Amino acid sequence: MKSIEQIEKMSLGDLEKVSLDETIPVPSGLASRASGLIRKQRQIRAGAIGIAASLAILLGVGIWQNTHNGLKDTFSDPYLAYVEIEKTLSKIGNAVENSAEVVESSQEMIDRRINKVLNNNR
Amino acid sequence: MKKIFMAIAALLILGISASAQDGKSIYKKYSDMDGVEAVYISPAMFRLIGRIPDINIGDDKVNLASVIKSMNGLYILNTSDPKIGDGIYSTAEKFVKKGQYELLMEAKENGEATRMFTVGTDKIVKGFVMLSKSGEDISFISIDGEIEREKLEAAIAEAAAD
Repeated sequence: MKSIEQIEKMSLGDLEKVSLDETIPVPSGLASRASGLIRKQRQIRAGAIGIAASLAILLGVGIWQNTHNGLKDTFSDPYLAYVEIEKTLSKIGNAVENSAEVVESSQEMIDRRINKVLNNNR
Repeated sequence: MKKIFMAIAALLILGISASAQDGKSIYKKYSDMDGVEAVYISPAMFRLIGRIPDINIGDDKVNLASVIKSMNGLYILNTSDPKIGDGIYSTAEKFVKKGQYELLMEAKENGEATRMFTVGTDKIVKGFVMLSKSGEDISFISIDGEIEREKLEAAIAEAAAD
């Protein structure tokens, strides 16, 4: 049996002659084991290519989304934009103020009830 | 191998769709629908406003200029359409939950409900959301930026007083 070093020194022509020589015994199951190994390597390669391709697609989509915001300013005039900002802050402020009024009226109601209870106990 | 590949692809898609939920994506989803009033102010417009000398931003008490300059985006959606309104409301609720927004204030009175959320640190507000519901009217306001909390609170208080 040839060693690996001897096989490596053989030319392609010699390797082809050896492969076609049917008198040389081949270990049983070698063909199926070899094809199994080749199939497994192909599967690993295909999987790696698939993962790389999906990552590349997702990266591309992310970059595209970042560069193409797609949103257009509602106002082209900064003065009008500023007025809208003031309106918005005012709306938020009014909501806060209304909440504070609810808290205040609740507090007054609580204070009245406490006073009533205290007066009743005297 | 095929199962691993499919699992990785599914996780990546889920990750991207989850990260896509923000004020901007909610605005994009609903702003073009019929029955929705939408306002968007971009970071570029905020910078432009800050540079205009003629605008008297704020007064002695409150410096609105620094608040406005530290904003990156303003997204407003208003609708009276019940179906769209429910969609905006539920999408916004999911957004504040996922974005780890903190409930700042909630008020309910006479069929009106208003909730405010912020995200950031003790000193800096990175995001502000106000969600209000009055009958069939829904209003969604989202502000992005790096705004000093004290200045934002002062600006809101000043705007309420006007």
